[in-house]
Amino acid sequence: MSNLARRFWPTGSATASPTGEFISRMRQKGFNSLQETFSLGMEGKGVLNELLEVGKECSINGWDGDCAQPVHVASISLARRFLKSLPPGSTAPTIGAEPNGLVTLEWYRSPYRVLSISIGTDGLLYYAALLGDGEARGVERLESPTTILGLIEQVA
Amino acid sequence: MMTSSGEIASSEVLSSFIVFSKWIRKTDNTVKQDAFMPSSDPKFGIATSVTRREGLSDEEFWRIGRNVTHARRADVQKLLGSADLLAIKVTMAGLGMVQDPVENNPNHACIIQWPANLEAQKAAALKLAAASRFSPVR
Repeated sequence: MSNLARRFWPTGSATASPTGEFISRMRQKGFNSLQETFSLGMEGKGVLNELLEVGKECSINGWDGDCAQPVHVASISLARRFLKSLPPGSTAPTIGAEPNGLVTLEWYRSPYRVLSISIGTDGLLYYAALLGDGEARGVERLESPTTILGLIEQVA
Repeated sequence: MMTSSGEIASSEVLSSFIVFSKWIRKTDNTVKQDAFMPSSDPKFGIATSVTRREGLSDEEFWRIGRNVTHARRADVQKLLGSADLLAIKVTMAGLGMVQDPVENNPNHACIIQWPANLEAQKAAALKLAAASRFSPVR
């Protein structure tokens, strides 16, 4: 599991005891506080504002000058949820949209070192990456993006 | 205006008109995969629209671009430029190409034979984007 993935699940291993549950809640609270800070969180990095801008600009048919569908409200909402769940201090992606109406997140270092994720309205993350001589692609659930978190570390 | 005919040669330049600013990376003016992703097409299922540069002067090419993007949506942002790539790169990405002349663009063509699943489409679009270059509108 990548370091980013370990930080994605701050609650650690499950425990049924009252003490364990208390510790889990406190960890989550700490995680949320860090995520909300200006310097570490996606909000502070301007990414959530960028997501809103894309939502507005791509809200009409043909926003690409061709046949693009309006960006799905569900894709925007799930993108926001995914961004807010990234560990504090994560490298921020840039936001885009595809003609199929899905929001995209991109982590980029060079044309052949890049990761792009499409935020499906079904709660799935569709990803593809170029990693120099290698490449990767697949689908993961928004709640458990283990491979994606590893790819973010490789690319960013 | 000269128009091209015959098969699309590997050495031809194909261009996708860019209207949406977030398809161009601000850091280095390269093109994102989003710009090449296909959309629904009544003839080909899903396809990406491009224009063949063959036989077109720069002036003719940009006139086509302005006419085409304005005709579709007069209220969208202005034409920013084009993402240009060699036809051979489309073949190398595992995709096909077909001439598809239309009323206001006799050089119109489509990138077709996209895979069915989204992640494979993205992988192919990443390769097209990496092989392309952004040309600002003139």
